[in-house]
Amino acid sequence: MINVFRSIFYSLIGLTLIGWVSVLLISVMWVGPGPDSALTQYFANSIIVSERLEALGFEFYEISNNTFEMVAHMLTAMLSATILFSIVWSAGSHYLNIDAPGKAKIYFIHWIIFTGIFVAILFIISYFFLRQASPYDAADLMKTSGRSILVLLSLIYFFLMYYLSVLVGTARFARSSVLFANKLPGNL
Amino acid sequence: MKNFIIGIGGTGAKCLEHLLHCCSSGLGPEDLWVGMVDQDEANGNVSRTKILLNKYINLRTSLRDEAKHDLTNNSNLFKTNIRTNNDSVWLPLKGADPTLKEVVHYDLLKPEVKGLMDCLYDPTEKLQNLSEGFRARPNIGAAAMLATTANENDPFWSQIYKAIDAARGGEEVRVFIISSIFGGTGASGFPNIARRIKTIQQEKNVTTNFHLGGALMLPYFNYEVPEENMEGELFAKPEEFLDQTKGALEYYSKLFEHNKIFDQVYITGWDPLSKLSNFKMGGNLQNNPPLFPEIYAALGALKFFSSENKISENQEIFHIGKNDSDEILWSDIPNVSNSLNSKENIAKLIRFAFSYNWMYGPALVGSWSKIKKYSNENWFKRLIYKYTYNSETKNCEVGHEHNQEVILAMKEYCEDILIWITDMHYSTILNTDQKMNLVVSEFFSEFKAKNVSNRVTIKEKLNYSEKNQFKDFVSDGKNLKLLNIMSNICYKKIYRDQKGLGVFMDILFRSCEQ
Amino acid sequence: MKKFIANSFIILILISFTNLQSKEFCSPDELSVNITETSSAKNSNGEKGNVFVYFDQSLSMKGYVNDQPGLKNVYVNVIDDLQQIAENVGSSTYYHAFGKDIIPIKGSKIAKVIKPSFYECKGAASECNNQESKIELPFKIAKANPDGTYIIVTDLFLSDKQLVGGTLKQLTKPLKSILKKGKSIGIIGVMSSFNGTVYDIPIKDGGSMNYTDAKMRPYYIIVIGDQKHINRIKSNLEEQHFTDPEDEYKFALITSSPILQNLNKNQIISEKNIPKIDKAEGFKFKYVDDVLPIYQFNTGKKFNKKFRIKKDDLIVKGSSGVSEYTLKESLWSSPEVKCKKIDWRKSKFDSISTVTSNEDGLTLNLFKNISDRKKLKLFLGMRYFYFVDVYAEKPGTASEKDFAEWSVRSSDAEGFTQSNPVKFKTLNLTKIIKILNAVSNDTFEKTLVATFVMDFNLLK
Repeated sequence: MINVFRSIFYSLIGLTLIGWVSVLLISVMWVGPGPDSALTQYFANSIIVSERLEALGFEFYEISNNTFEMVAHMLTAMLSATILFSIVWSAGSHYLNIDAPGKAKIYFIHWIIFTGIFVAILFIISYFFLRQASPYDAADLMKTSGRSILVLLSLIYFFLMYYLSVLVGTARFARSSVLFANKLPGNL
Repeated sequence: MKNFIIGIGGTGAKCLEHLLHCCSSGLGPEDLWVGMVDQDEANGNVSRTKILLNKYINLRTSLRDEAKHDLTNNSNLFKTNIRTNNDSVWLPLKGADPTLKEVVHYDLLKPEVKGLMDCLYDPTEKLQNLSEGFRARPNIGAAAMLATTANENDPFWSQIYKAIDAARGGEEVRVFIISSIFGGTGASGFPNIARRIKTIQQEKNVTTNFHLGGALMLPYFNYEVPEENMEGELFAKPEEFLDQTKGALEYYSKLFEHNKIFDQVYITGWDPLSKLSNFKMGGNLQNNPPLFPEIYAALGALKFFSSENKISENQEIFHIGKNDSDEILWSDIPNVSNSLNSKENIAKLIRFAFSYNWMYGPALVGSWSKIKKYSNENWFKRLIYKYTYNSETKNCEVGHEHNQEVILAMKEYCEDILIWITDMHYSTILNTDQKMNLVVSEFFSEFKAKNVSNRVTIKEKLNYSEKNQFKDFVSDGKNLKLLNIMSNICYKKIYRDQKGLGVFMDILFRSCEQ
Repeated sequence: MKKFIANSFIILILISFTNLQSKEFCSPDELSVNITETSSAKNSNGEKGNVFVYFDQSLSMKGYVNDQPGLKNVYVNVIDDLQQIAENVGSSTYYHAFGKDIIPIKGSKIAKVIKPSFYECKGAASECNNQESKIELPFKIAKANPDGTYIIVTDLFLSDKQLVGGTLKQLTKPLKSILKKGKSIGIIGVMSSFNGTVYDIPIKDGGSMNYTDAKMRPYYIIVIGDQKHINRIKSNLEEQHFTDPEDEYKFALITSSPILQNLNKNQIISEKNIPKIDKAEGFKFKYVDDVLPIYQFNTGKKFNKKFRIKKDDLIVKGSSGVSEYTLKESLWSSPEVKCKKIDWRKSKFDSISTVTSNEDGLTLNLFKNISDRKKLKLFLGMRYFYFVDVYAEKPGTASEKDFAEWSVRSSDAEGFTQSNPVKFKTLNLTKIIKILNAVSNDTFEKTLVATFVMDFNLLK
């Protein structure tokens, strides 16, 4: 059991390596970045249909609160999913039936499937928040390319976070099931 | 503390076999000298024990080599430093085909002494070829042993003399002898060798620091003697065992009453008697299976050697038996001391043997090109690769001959452990109503009671479902799975200073317990 | 006590529920509403003025009073009833003959108009009034005294030289003045029997020829005055004289104000003008300050509604109508939907809806220009305030096509005549109609016909 807790601990460390960025982003979005902030500028330039907003007489920063609130919710959901999946894998890897030499690499398939499900869930979360029929009105402000950018960036980011987490959090004997995890030092 | 153990006769040799396995699991003392006494040089049991002893010593030497593979003092695996003479067996009567008549120089005896001899021994007994033991004639054995001198230059007796000298020098010395109370060599050797040792002690004026203990096996097995070709032959008759035992017990009762020869005596027996399928008069075909009661003698010896065992001034006699039911359980195995749990250590050893023999050993056998497919696995990386890597050649040398020897030797030793426990399991309860619930062995072994050698054959490889039965393999309720072992070997802390294959062996051993 | 608390609680809930349901009206500060009365409404006073009747005394008109055996003489019938028709629209009626000059006719002598002798002249040609038809003369009288109603009976057979240069100006200038003063010109063309000579048919060489074999020929009753009176006269004629299926007549109303009324003034606009809008969530319709209709509702992005106005509600019957409408639109939006926090911003859209017109009336395709495949290109969660003024931009054209079948061009007149037609045509009739349309275009003023507001929340 102590090894499971150790794995969870390492997993959390792996999550934290780049996870702090999402926490920071979420916090900033909750509070609301200012009109001159780089985030607002970026959203206005790349994510939002600013031209249509301007046609209505608005600048994005004037009505950005709802957008950032929505994105903050989305990031929170994705972060939660990432933490959950990372910990489930890290803890669960101790219960994979790797009881003999050479068996660990068979579970690579299991990891791929698990990771695939995770990525699919991330995608579903982002789709839920950002689609046209989203429960959030702010999603309507986004252009198609903006949606794609957000989806792609968040998928890449959270996948990386998850990967780093399972890289260090996977049970030692199960490391061959995770891509490149077997390159880690034996006593890590 | 210096420890010496002498196994007398076939039973003594068999008890030593159990003792060796217990020592490899860490139940033994730091240091132990082992010797056997048997006139039947080719005795199957003695040979088996001799071979096992050599394997133990060689393997231990390989794995406690500070230069190459070192388990270090922290490891309990092969903890006991067992020593023995070049020939671990002492034959009381040397020479080809000695007879009693020759031993006592009958022809040179005075007539009155001759008459006494005639009175005590019938012609058959006087002319019995003693090269295959004393054939359950302790009277012959006693006379034969008394006729030989306890020569200080004799390799066997020199150890006893050294032991007593060491006691005189202030070091604590404990000597333990094991034999059966019935039969031939054991029955005759036990009191006489004990007395001989005591005599030497008295001659050397050693009054402190020297302790003598012994384990006496009351009848615990019998066998059917075939009627054909036995006429005129001297052999141990099982129906006489109880009478012999009765007589012997009366003798020892008087002996212990008047003479404090032993500090501690451990006595055990068994009921119902285990029924052996084979009867052989002697020689290499007398290869009786290991039986459960013998563990009591072995554990008694280890308890005697334990530093927690405070030997009192008075002579102590211990006896032990199992629980009243017909089922033999792990709880029937006593602990060696408060800090040495026999059940746990033996169970650990058995699991270690299983894991090594079928799971990890095969992965390590062969050349590097065959082994390297495991090189990315954590257990291999942290336990094998790192400690068999040659920084000069920049290669992992696990596939090299000097490492392969150790790997194969351990595989062989593990096989022996599995055969030992399986044989004991089957043989103890064969043809009785008893049940033994120590291990489950049907899935990996085959038992043929009639075979003299190779009663038990274990499978070369196990399939998936057979490997899955590992968790039920040892019936101690621990529910330890191979998965747990894999997890443990990846996480157990490696002791400092451990080297080479000692790292892996020790980690695997320690991983075989929860 | 408990009962009182419970009841109070229930009432509070109901009130708050009601409040939730109702959307407060809060318009943008920049909103300005200008609803004025249309000129036709302005100008119509319902009083009966004098009626002045002018009969074309030219010789070409004589053939109308001679019966053609087997054919209906509508001319004579109409002239007979004209006195009574005129008295329906006017208090006093004055009759005249016109040709070279205008000669008054006593009322008791009206009967002479239907006799051939009215169109004959025994004196010298230079002295006779039947040698030409100076139709501009009654027009000038009408210009000078626009309050009356003028009825001109003529064959409208004008030569090219009467329709160019200074002569044309003599026609158009008084007509412009008349139209500018809010009066209208009605042209009722009537096909009647004809037994006589059609004079001054132009030939290619430059001269003219006559034709005697025509059995039918159209004549025209031009009525200048209020639309109401024109329509009255037309109705009377229709009821009394154009009842048979074979009766042929045509009508055109030339007016500078074809708009019947401003729809806001009389609260004509209702929820029925936008079909199925009442099915929208949270729908409410009301008038603010009695003139500004407001549609309040919630909608999703799929919005494909049309605002329709029936022609009869908008266009003067029989008039040339309106050929082009324009919209003056504004759209405000606010991210906050509650009035307390509302923050209206005016959009920069150039064009929001489109407007089309057809025989049935006027249709606004709401938000068509800011929709993409029938989905609004607006943002969800916001409140929108759409204000639109509908203007009549250009008048319609009187039915040149309708009259085309009775028209013959100067260049074709000779050939037409040589084909020995039974039904003769009117020279340059299409040209005359065109000129009249051009005059009405010049005098047409852009008119606000309707104004309304849509105040809606865009929800999912």
